[in-house]
Amino acid sequence: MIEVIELTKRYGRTLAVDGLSFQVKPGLVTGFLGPNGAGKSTTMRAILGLDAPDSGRALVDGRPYIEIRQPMRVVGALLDASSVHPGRSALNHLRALARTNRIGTSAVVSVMERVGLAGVARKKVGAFSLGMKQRLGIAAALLGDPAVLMFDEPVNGLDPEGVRWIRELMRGLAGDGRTVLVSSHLMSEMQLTADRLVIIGRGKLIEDATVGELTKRFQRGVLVRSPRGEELAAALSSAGATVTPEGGGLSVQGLDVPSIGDLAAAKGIPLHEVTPRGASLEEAYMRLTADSVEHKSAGYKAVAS
Amino acid sequence: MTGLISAEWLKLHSVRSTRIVAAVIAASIAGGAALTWYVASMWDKMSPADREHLSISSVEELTLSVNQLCFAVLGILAMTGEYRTGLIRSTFAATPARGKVLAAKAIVLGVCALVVGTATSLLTYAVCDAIIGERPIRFYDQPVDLTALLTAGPSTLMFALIGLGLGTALRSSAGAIAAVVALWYVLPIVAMNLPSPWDNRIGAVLLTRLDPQLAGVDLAAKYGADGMPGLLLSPAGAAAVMAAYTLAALIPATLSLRRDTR
Repeated sequence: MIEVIELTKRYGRTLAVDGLSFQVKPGLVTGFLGPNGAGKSTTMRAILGLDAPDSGRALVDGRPYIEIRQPMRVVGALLDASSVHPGRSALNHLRALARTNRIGTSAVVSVMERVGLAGVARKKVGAFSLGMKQRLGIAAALLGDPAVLMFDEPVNGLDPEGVRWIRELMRGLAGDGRTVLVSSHLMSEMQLTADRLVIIGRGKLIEDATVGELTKRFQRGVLVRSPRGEELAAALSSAGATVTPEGGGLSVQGLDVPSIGDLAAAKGIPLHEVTPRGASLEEAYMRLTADSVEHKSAGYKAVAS
Repeated sequence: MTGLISAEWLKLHSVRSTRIVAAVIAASIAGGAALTWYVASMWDKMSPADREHLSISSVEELTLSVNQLCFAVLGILAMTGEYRTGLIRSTFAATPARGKVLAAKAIVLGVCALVVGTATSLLTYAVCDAIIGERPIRFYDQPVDLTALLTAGPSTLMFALIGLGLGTALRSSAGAIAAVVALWYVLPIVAMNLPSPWDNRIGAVLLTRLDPQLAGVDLAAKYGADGMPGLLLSPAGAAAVMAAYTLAALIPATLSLRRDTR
């Protein structure tokens, strides 16, 4: 369980995080979304006690991180995959970290196998690809077998196989009942991985909801066309749908495509078009964060990067 | 704390800079031996009259200087290497008590500096003494001053901790190395050019002049040269100045650990 309470952090004149509050619950993958510069990394650093907040608090299992003895056994974090000394071998990097929290060498060996780095354990980290460094960072996070995990942009630099591996790893960790917070600026990625989404922009909370709730809220319904539109509208309404006329057709909310088809067939009403128009979460995310994008490209309202 | 110390020991010996420093120190001993051998072979070819003028300054001072700089650099890199690579975030996330990380680094570096500094000094003396043999070359015909040899340990320790302190406070290798070079090399030149008696007074409290005073060696008496300060500090006074330098580096370093780790 992670609790961020009214967290505010300034760097000079920049307000990086502005009165941010949210909770991350165990057993779920919580996606931490926001455009670049929204304050995701700052929030994560504040949770880990690396940056001191100007006001507000961040608690892990009810206490500030810096009060935890041997914190690697409680919280595992991947902040920045390049946070390693390039001249040191992967094995020595992990062994040194393990020793600080009195974690045995057997755990080091087993996490290296788990992340698929056992074959390059004695290679210098400087020779690693970004994907291998990400795996090493994840290995470090898993070292202490913690119940709370935080990953900052873990899929950066990974190949499709690696992306899928991370996705399954995070799902598995949440499946064990662990608390998993994973940041990303890509909704497409979070849509596949996360159960809950915490979306921030300019350091402020924009949305805190489950993926299902968001999908539902931004559902634009099904577009239906029929030569007997009025009759169909009445039938759909009495079946519980919300029907609004739209450009000669009907926009139907609350019934899915098979139900609409079955209903029309039962009444003998011909259908000329049935188009499901569920707005993608990607679009929903773009709309939610449109006002808080730092570097907006001209004539292009998207948040791609 | 033992976990932290063993982690820092692993970190120290698992990077290349440490091996380079070890090689440089070994090379300085070999170089000192070669120099001594050259002087000894010159002495053998000289007339008795020329032999009177031949002297060899103590080679231990040369190897000590190399140790001082090497350990100052190791101390700097122990911290700046972590800030430069971003490893510091992993380190402080694993150990939120940042002062303990600094203390563990200080203990590991300090013990290494003490052991290597002392061993280098004794080994250099032993090797050079064996090469000189029975030749009564000036400075090597005197009985060995064991205390002077042993001050190399504390002096190297001081340099290691000053390096660590500067590296931590400045978070930059270049800045910290420049500061050490200023203390080690530039300040003595400045001090030498001060009007008397300030040249000696200031000179006496400079980093590189503290180890002979700690041993009670009167440099002016030993070399009889101008610009060399005489004995101004008692051994206890020299020890206090050394401790003050070390604290002057480590206290700001400890305070600077409170800053954000970006």
